[in-house]
Amino acid sequence: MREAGETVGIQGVWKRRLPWWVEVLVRLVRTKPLGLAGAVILLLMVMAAIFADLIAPYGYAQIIPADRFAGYSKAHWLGADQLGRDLFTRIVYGARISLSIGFAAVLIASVVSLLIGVPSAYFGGRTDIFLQRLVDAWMAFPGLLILLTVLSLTGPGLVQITIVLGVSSGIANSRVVRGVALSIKENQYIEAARALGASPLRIMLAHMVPNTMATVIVLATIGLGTVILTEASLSFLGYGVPPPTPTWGGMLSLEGLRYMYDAPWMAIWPGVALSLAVFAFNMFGDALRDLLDPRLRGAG
Amino acid sequence: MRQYVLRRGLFVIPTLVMVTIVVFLMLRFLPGDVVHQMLEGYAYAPTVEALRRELGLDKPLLVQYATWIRDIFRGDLGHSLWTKQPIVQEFARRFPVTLELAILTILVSVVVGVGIGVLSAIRQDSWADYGGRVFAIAMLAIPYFWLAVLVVVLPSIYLRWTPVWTYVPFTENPVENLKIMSIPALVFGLTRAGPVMRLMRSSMLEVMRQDYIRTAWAKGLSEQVVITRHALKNALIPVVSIIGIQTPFLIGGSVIMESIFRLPGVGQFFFEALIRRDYPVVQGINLILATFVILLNLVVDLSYAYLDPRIRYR
Amino acid sequence: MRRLVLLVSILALMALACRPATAPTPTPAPTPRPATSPPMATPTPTPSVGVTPAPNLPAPTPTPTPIPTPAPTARPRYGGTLRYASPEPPSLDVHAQISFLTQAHGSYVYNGLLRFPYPQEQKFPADFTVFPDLAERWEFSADGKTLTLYLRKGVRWHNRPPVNARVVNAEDVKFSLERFAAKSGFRYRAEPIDAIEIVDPSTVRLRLKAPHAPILHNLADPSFMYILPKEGATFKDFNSVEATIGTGPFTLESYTRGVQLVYKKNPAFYLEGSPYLDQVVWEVVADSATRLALLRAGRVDTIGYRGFIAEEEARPLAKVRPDIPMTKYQRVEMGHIYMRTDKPPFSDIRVRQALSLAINRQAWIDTIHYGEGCIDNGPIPCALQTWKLDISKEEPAKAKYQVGYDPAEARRLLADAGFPQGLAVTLNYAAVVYGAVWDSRYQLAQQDLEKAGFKVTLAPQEYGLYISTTYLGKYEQMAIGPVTPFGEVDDWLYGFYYPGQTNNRSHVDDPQLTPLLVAQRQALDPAERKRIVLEIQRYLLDKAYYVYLPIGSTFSVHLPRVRNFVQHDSYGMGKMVQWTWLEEK
Repeated sequence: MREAGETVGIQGVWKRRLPWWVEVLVRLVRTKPLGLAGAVILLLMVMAAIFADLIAPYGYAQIIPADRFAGYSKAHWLGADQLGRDLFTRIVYGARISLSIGFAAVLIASVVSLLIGVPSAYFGGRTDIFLQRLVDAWMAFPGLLILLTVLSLTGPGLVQITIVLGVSSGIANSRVVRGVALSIKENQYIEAARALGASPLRIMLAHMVPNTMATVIVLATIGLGTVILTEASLSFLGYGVPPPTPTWGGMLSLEGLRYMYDAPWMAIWPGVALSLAVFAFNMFGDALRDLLDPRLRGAG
Repeated sequence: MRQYVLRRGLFVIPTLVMVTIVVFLMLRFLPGDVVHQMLEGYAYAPTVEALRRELGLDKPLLVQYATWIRDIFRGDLGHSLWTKQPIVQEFARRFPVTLELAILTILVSVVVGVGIGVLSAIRQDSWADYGGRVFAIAMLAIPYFWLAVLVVVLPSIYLRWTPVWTYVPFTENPVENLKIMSIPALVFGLTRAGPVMRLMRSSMLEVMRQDYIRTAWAKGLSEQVVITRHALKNALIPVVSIIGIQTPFLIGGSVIMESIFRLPGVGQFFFEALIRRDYPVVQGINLILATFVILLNLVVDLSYAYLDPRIRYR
Repeated sequence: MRRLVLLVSILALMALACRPATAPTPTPAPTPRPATSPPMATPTPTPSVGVTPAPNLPAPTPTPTPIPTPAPTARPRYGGTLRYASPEPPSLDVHAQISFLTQAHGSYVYNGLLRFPYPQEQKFPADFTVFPDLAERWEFSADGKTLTLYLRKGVRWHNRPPVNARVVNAEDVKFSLERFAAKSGFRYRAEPIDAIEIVDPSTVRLRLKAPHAPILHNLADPSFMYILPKEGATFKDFNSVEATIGTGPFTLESYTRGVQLVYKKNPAFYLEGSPYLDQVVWEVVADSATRLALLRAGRVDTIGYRGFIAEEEARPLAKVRPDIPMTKYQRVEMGHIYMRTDKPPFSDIRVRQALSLAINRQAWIDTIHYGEGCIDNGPIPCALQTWKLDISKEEPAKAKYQVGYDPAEARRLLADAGFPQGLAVTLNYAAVVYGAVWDSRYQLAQQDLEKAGFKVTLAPQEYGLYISTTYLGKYEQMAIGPVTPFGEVDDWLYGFYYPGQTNNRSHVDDPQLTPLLVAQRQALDPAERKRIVLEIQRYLLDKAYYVYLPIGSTFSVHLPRVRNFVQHDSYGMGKMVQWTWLEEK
């Protein structure tokens, strides 16, 4: 509690002098070492994904039979896989698919969860009952069956997978958002806003959405890892990103675990990349949550 | 309140009907046919037709659905197309396994998650906060199936021992049963503790800044009282929601844990049925689980009102 | 050091088993008995297969591996429980389910009229010589259209109600064959049978529509026509412990779904002295990593089906656990690329030949099979030595279209066929289900074909979708994957080339070939049949209706205390276990 108070104080000082994002950045550096580390890792990964063509020493599908199961060496920094493909290269390229599916799906999920959760809580009554029954029904479906059906209709593809994963986790998350929003709705400032004649849309956008952001960010950070791994389980069923395009989930569960006895690095490095991304995103998200908290911002 | 529960109850039936119809249709339109799978490619026309007739899949969809519904009212969920076993019986045998794993998993994840979450919220930005969060998030970041495989495989390599052995029901031998269940529950629970901890910390921070907590501090109440009596209860709302979300996942989605630790639960049964297009099994289990999920959501909603008395249902 | 020398020498021997002397006209050398872990062998000579795979050893003339002499102490011991970890059979009804797991269950508790060799009788794992089982002898009529089978006298059913150890009679046989013909996914195998007549309680006569050489094999194959008691007509099905009444060496004692099946020795089994084991416990374990962990932890004696372990698991295991005996041999198996030969572009023989020439088979063996394997694996698999054409004696100019590698000529052929800019194709396959080696094959195929001027789009399909479309021949261009391993040569020829057969996924309809396919199945004289079978293979050499892919070895593991666990290439695991015994601890 006392620490939180200090944060408020610092932030209060900075607020008057600098644009908000610089302020957030400075506070990130000053007070959130873990969050900063997370941000740096994420940034590096995104850069690697964007400039994969420049960074990667090999082609991601380049088969070199002689280097099969090669260990760590100058030629292969992280070793090579069962077809002699360079693991480092594949992880760098894998970041492209895995991170874009991950971030995009998480973004979609956040929007969907707000779109359902906040109105459902604000309006209550019939709207709530109706929306929540739809959510109930959705959650009562076997997730895998939905994924299979939708993807068998649309055909496999990056965009389809991202949308399906995003929407379905967004609907599930909307229940958490609604729970939080219900609680927020009972606050006096909402009552006050309503008394002042603010429109429902304005109340929801200006007061309720910002106050649920903390939860939404947390849900997003939690969801990232799940989404990246779900892509791999879709590959299991033939609806993932087709080979030889690498994805972290696929490298880990389709290849890594099968060759773990012969080449443990095949199971280790994609797992490390994935865990690191999730870890960094969570740390960053945590810090962001603390920094963007509207009550903290206003408290100064 | 009572009226609210009643109104919610009224919706259960139409929701279920809708869910069953959609699942029924999805299954039939999903490419890949149970008959072809059973014949593993030996699909000579007479063979296929005979098998289809035998399984009752030659009838119009409407008739198939109506028959299925009629049988439900007789308490019969039908038989598996593959194993020919009655689904109710099979489910009854398998559900306790999955439920036990789910309960133990939730127990582990809540104890660890709420513990670390509260600690890191009240000591925000301290080393305890960092340490606890790093641990919980590291567990969240590690894919649980990867951890599960390691837990099974590594000791078998280095110790010539493995935690997996033949499942024994709790009712038969509780000690042996817990020996078998505890390790998967621990693995699963720890990897699930991350979300609980994250939400706990976040909402705890939120609650701690509320006026009534400030008031409580101002009144000079001890930290323990403020935390447990005032803050914790309120902060639990998102945690309860996420448990609500995770439970169906734990029950339906424990496929991999069940497969790696060879537990004869519902998850694997359901997954295999879906892959094999065992229509009655998918429909039957879905119906039971859907009912379960809908009721669970009701409980979760009602618990909000308990945790935050300001929330009223009308 | 001495052990190392031993290992290397045995490795070299094994490496010979199926390596060609010179590419690209390889010779499947006569496979000796499985080079490792022969019956009665003590664990010492069991080599570790993972040490230095010998991909580039000069290959001298293949010599059969000497069969190690049985250790003096190796006398069968009675008693004990064999535990093994395997996935669960989808059903126990051997006529209703063709899954190999269901058939494996059947092989413990049932017998057929005929059978394949027992371990002490077999010459190699794919030895499909037919022996008497419930029928003690049989004869064809002069016109080949009647097969009379004489039942062994006094064989009794398991002692369970309502059959109660009754003697097996001709009515049981009629009931079973008719049930098979009505229910089984393999019912087409009963199609040549016109009528089943009971001559007397111990004689059955099968009237055939035409002479049918494969009938004996099919009666013997443990995955087909098991004999069940006629009382079964009143059962709901044969899918329960109570309904599992057979004549086999074991009885099914209990079955906890998802957990385990327990088999007990049948003390009244008609062959005295068999089985050795008191009990077999089939632990249901779905996950392969878990199965291997159980074996390494010594909790089960063997794993999977017939002890099979994936190559990528076997090689490293052999390196670190030489104490776990491992058998390595060439199994009957086949994988190929199949394509729509009934329409352009694959109706053009040049395009098909280009496909075949594009595959660098030796490189595949080096890349995914640790340098050991068999290159000429089609149209009849390497392991089926009895029927296999020796391709090294054939004209190289034709043989190269079956086994050769020449991307330059492939490009030329493609250009001749009208695709000088290359040809874009989609390659279907079943995602993931066939294991890691197959996942590598798909990608190698893509790479090789692209080098030869094809532009390949890989199209993975969910298994359910694959098995009900592509695998049934319903696909657009081409596909790749494994097929059911058969022991009967008719399945490899008639099945894959006769118009309208479900296995004819390449849609082959060759008027010159079709009569030969029918002729071989009607030739009851083995020598005559072999002549036709060889002629068919010669004819097919340069047709490239399918692109045959090279195969690696099969590995089987068990704990050292398990003895006489001899591989036979059929679905009859129970028939192997029947002769297995356990050493005292």
